Amino acid sequence: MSKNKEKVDRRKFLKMSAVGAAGGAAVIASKSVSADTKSFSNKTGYRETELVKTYYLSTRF
Amino acid sequence: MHNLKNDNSISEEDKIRSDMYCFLAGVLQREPSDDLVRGYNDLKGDKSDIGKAFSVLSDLSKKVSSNDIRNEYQNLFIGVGRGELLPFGSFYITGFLHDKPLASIRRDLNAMGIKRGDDFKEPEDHIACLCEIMSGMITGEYGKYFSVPEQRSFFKKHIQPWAEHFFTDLEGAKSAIFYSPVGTIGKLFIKIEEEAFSMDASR
Repeated sequence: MSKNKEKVDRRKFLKMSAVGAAGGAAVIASKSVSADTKSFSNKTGYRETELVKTYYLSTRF
Repeated sequence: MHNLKNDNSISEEDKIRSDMYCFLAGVLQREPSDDLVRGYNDLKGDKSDIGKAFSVLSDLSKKVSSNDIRNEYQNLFIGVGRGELLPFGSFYITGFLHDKPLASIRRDLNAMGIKRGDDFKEPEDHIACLCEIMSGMITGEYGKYFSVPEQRSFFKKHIQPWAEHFFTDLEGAKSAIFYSPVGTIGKLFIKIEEEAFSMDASR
């Protein structure tokens, strides 16, 4: 089995098993998990808080 | 939890995976605020097992008061002396808190350039921490996108050995009402991740 074929299978599998089932639900849930719950960052501590907010405002949910 | 730039550049299934991890991290990290509980009101699932568990969680978030949910969190994870469950990898793997598995996570996080903030006091082998890290690895939160083999390596070492066991315990815990479907969702999702990682043989 080629590398690419395996990648496609993985994506297909994930789409079948997780995306359909939990897609909308998890997106909504994580939206309500606000940025203040974040406990880890990269070592420079860079965070795009404003962008995160903008993303949430712009999301169709 | 995501930034704009990253959300445009990861695939749909990776977005869902990171949202799932993010959801699990958020629900297990601490006692939920009223806002967080309200956020679960709108959850909808399809007819799959994970979907059904999300629907149950949504119903419970409307029926059970936030205070009762916070009490349940206390009984499950904090307790008097200790809660019903100890959501730490080290405990599940070796039977002891703060043991070698925690040291191993700290070493790996350091090598990955990930550092923790000061506002969450639990050790890094807490299930919520591990879920948050998986989510951030996928979305590029830590300054780079971690490849599937890198994600798999972290998952296999630090999550796979115990997380399904923990979520199964949570699903059936005596004190669990609201958190029981969380256990179901976690258990099923970890199984999906395990299977998906086993499919991708590219290194």
